[in-house]
Amino acid sequence: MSELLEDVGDVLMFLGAVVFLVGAVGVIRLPDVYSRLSAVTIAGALGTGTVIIGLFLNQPSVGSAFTLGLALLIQLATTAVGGAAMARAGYLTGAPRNEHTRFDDLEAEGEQETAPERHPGHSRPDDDA
Amino acid sequence: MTPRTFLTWILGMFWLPLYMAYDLVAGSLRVTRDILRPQGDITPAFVEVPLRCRSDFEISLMSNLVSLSPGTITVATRQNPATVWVHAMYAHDHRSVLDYVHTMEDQVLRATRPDGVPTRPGDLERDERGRRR
Repeated sequence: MSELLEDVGDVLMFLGAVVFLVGAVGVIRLPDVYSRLSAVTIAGALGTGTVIIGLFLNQPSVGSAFTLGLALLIQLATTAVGGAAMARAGYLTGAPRNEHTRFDDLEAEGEQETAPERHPGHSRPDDDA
Repeated sequence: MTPRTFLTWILGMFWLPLYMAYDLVAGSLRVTRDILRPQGDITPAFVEVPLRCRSDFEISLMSNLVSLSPGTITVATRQNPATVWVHAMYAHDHRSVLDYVHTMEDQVLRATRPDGVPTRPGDLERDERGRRR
């Protein structure tokens, strides 16, 4: 039984590595900053998740469940926050975007409010200003 | 708060991680297809989505979950009124992106609100070319 679990864990870890590879190819192949960040999300969230689940099946114990669960939680949180921060930085610095981009609701927001620091791309808590 | 909404709240807390796991896998498969095929059908757009979230926790959780799911990413967030601007890789129209984010918001609010989920807001006013009025 434990050997079977170990094998399943090995397969999952390998799958996780493949997901990382797909993410890396995506960073090269996808057309603009924002979709490339999605590829980073794939590697960071799904890839790490699969590797961590595989690791747990390889060494199932309460201690490793706690450590790996914590690692997964922190990884997911940082991937999301980091991705959003990079997307905002990309938008504010006017990163070139895919020519198929359909519409941009943020642009309209920039026209209405003249002062650049009031643009929602700069959003901060209201009482912070 | 009725017993029914209380039960929905408790179940919602367990349901949210499952929903996000499903969303993560489904979104990853969709983006992976576009990465590996020679010609992807990527039609990105920046969409303004009004939210029903009120507290800081709800808004930050929501915007981070949108960033976490592959294919969509939060570009900007506003607190009052609660709004996120989402870059979606597969935006065929506003309605599809709005429905996607609002479905995710339903799951979030089900887990954070003991007294039930409010109904979805409509889309913003737009002219015929889809631009904000």
